[in-house]
Amino acid sequence: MWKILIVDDNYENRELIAEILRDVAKCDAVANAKDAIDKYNTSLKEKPYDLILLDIEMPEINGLELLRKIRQSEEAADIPLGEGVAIIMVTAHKKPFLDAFYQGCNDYLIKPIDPQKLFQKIEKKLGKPTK
Amino acid sequence: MTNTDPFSYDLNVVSQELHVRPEILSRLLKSFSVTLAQKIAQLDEALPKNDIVLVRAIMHEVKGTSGNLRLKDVYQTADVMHVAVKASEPMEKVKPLFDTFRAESYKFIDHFKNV
Repeated sequence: MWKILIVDDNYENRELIAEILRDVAKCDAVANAKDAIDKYNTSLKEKPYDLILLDIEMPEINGLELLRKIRQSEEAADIPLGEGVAIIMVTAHKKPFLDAFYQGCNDYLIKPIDPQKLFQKIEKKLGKPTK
Repeated sequence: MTNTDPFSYDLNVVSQELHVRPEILSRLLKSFSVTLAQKIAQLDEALPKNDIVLVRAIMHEVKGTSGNLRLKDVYQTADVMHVAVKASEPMEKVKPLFDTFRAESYKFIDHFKNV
């Protein structure tokens, strides 16, 4: 099973993605960047996340800022560029993805979520899930 | 122009398409019907104040969730209104789009009141 963190301020979106991935991933879901950083840091002491699905438009700290913070903390921990946690940005906006790639995201997904594309993009990064 | 067709949604078809269990999808739809009514109440306050930042944020969120849940008419009317607000269209153009969006949304909300 993959270990995935879902970050989205909307309850229905978080629950829907976790449900779509139920057979292949153990998902944690949080509503804001602060809780995401807490979960991410805690996971480093246990089993790190394989992947983060990150909504861009969130109140207070948005997804792009959170992405930057995670990559900065990886850099501070001497994790080589490209070897940090895989991050897929998820949003209804098409525009901000160039910024997201500059800041180190691995891929993106446009809402409405297409389950097949979601699986494909995760598999492309992580390979087939193990039971 | 408002679509007068009743609310229509095939839970089994959508649950298969989304790869989710029908009972979970039903729970999420019920939850979103409550959220959507709250968002419309917020829009009722934000639009007369011309609070475009808040209106854009609400429409963005509603569009994303209604699209994910395959609420086609809510999604499409939200999208049209979102595009108009993003293009800084005047309020007299946005208001009828809001009325259409509200009418489609309430078909869904009223349907789930009785579920």
